[in-house]
Amino acid sequence: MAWHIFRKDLRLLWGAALAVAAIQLVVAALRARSGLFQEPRQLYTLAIYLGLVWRAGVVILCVNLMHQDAVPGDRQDWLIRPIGRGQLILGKLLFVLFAVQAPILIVNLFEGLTNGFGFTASLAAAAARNVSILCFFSIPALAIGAATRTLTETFLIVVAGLIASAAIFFSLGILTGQPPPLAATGLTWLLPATWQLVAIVFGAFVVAIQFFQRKTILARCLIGAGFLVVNFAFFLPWPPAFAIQQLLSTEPGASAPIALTFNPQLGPFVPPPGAAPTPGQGWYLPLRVVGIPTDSIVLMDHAQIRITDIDGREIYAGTPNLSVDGKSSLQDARFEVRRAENGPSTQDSYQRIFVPASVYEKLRDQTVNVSIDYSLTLLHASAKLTLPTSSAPTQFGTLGRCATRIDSDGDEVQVSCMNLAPSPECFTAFLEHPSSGLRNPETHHCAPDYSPIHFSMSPTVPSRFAGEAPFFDRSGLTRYPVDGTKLADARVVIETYEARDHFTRKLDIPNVQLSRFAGY
Amino acid sequence: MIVQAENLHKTYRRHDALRGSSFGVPQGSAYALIGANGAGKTTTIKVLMNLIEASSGTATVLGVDSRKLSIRELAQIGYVSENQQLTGRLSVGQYLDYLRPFYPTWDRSLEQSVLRELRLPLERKIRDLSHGMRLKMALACALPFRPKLLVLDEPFSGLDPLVRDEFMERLLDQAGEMTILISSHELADIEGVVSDIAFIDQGRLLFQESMADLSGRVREVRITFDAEPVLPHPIPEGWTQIAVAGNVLSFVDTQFSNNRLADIAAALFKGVRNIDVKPIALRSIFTTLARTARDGG
Repeated sequence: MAWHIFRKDLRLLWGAALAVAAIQLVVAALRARSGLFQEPRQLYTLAIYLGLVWRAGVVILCVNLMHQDAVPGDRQDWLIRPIGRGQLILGKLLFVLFAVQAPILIVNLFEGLTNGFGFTASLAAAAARNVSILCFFSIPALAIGAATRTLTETFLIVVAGLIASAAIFFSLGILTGQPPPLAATGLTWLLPATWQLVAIVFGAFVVAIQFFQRKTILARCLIGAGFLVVNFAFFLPWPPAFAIQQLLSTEPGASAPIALTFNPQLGPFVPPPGAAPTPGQGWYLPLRVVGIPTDSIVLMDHAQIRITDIDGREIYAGTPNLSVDGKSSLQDARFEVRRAENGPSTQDSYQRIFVPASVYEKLRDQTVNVSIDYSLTLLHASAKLTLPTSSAPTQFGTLGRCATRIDSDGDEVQVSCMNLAPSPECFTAFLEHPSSGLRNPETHHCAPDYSPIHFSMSPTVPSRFAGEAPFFDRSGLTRYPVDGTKLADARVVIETYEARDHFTRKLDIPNVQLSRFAGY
Repeated sequence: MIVQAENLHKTYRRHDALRGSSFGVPQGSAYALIGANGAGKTTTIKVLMNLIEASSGTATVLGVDSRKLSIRELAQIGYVSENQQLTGRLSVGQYLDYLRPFYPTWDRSLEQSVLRELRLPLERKIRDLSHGMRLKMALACALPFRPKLLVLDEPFSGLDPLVRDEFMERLLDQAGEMTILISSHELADIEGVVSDIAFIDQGRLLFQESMADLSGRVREVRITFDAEPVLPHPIPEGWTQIAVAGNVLSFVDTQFSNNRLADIAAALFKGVRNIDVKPIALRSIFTTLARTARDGG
């Protein structure tokens, strides 16, 4: 009977299902047309907007599917028919699988294949994305559709949910006085993971409660509770979140030799020539990181700072990126140290600490104790490739399909790669000239995402990462050994890094006068 | 009893839609729930069909608690309601195609015969059907599986006489095979059909009895006297709508029997010249009882 119900729904909704699949196909075609460098920009932007339409389409299709046999109310014909509730749910799931998810899978598979990836890799990526879309959109939409009668009702519930979510989000932000702990870290994947978990658990409950007990008010309360749980996930405290991440380390213990010490001998921070002033009041604490494995990066994910006076009374506690007077992101406060293939295992860096102006003034000439609890990640080089300075898209093993070109300003070589796997957490790029042995300074990018599964809501499967290798500085502050005259024989070297171990360290700095390390 | 309701209560916020309804529908009967608009007929039927849950009380349908009606029972119950929501985007034929496999006893030849008699356009989308056509469509979906129980909730509302006749004719064709539970305030239409009747008012069942008993006990009476009569005090029990015009006393006797009327007339009046007793239509019985109930009689 489930198949029979599926056929009825297909008869009613095939047009909508086809339209949603067509939108996804157009998005994929636009993304393919905009290529690795995502140009022309208009096409790429159109693809982004169509992607939003597609997401809405998937949701509306699933909600509409449930409304074909709406549960709330007492006038629906199916309620007095000998239609098994289990069979009805199964019929709806068949529709979602065959008319919603299968077209997505086919488009994503086709997308992988046409971008030059193998069948197995394309299928695996398409299947993973399919599960993501199912959990992100289809299951929540089925649950909301089961608890509503019309699209207007659905719209109102979703809008109410979003308004409540925003209210909770901002209220919690104001109450805690901190930005969401996971924001802008490699742990943000916990949010989509929570969403998916909530979607599966609450979605199953809502559908079961509605179809088997027809408790619409309870079902709607559950949907509201789901919204709440997702919102509270934004404010998941850092320690348990990082503990989860530590459990997922691919090489636990690899960070054992690494230690952090305060290194006053390094002296005050000297900004690089031409650097813009850093906003906000703060200090730059000199650090030494020892025991870094070769070809590795140590990345600071989070730090909890506690400043006490010499009697142990707390003066300030918070994260290093907090500044109520100047905007300071985690990136401003985050440090990373890298040991090159043959470089020393000890590296120096500075920990930037931004504090509110009142604290800054209070501590200006005071001797204090500083204690910092660090959450760190050890990343290890995972792939290295060299490309000509101008090359057509070519397949490069684990890095995927990459291309290079000289940018329109004529001062850097742009590199762009497309892959079915997630983008690397960090990568470096530089220009080298093999015949002369010259090489330019590296550019380095880190956008950590320690997710064990690639959570994405995008209608297209390939992920992209892009970097640049400069060879000319228009300000004249920097002169590059490999400049424009050597470009023809030069090549771009890209090295990518993957997270191996997540670990914590504690740094205690007694009796320090922070004014010695003031910002500039 | 194929349907048995015990002390049903249903409260919507502060409004009591049902206030302790109890009744039983005998197997093979054509049982009518009558009452004014808002009396609680539809609520009662929705409770019986498990479309809504009673606040308290119990009901059994085909021997099963109405809250636990399974596909086995639903496959034996036909339901037609004036506000039934059918899948509007399917055509009549497509909807019948959809329903057929759910009913093990679906009779294709009966379906053809029903469709022919009700003259339903198979290709037309349900949403494009008129109200009357939709009701016929609902009936066409309720008969071909030869239900043991056919529940009709205000089936004649808004139907023009022609459609009403077609509906009734089709219903009567199969009436002998099943028990019919019908709620209606279109009493003229059900008068010739029902065998039992229950009167519901303000959520309370005031009485239920066979149609024969009811029409037997409610009579319009005209007593002609030699002179203008003096009304007795108290008025005999069961007399309502009493009027005196000259030497004629007329009233509706809701507890009529020949002997009783003769005894009362002899005891209370003098100069009785003639007693004229007439049966009255169900509609008049209903309005009489409804007024009596409304006036607290």
